[in-house]
Amino acid sequence: MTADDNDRWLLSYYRVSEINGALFFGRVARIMRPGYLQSQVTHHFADEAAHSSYWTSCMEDLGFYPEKQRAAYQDRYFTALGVPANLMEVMAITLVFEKRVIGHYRRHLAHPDTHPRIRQTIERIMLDERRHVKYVREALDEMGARYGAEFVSRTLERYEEADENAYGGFVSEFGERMTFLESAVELAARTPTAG
Amino acid sequence: MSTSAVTFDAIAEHVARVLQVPKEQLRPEDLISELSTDSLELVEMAIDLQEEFDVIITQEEFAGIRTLGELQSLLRSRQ
Repeated sequence: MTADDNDRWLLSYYRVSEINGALFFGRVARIMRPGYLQSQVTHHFADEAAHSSYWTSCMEDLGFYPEKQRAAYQDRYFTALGVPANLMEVMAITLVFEKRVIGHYRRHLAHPDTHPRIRQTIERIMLDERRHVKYVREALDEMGARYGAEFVSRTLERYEEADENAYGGFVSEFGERMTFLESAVELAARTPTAG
Repeated sequence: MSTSAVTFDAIAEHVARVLQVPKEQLRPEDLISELSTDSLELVEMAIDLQEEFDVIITQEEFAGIRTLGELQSLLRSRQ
């Protein structure tokens, strides 16, 4: 099994999305009040940086170097909605993004031709992503008291809608580079819904 | 945690630190959009001020603010 140009492009995209995530969380971590959430966000910042390193190593093991890219998946949110302006909005956009990442990585893992080295990297990253979803969900629940549960809920809905559009745009623009997406759609169409 | 009074001097101190501009050069009439071209840096500034003064500004409100003076008025109205 060998990696091709599409793998190189996609893994480079994953890598730069992790780098941009680390830079974003680094900014948030340095201005937060001390406490549990600051600790979690700082850990999150470190995780994203580590993930970018995992992708770099993965590509090197596959025999190529990352492409220079700047645009990351998160940019699509900011283009559609503007950047978040408070901590609750940061957590809301993070929850939507993390859930999307997990869903996308699952689709990548589901493809039988996914290279074992890529599979190993995704599985390693997924462990952290699940932890991120847990702490962010808990933070948003707690923030309901300060920001108002309805405001939190409306913000999440707004970001979820933006995410649907962002992911649709991403697949529409780059779907041909990700054959696993096509097979996942076909597989879903053939598989009866299990509830 | 005690909260600080929303004076222009206190705002300027935070803005100067986050955006790395000289505090003494900041004026209430300064356009926020001209203080930095990096939107994430402005997010950092907005969250820093909310953390300091224990107030909440929404994305929509922040997008509608043009100057540092307007930012001060909004922060004061929330404290």
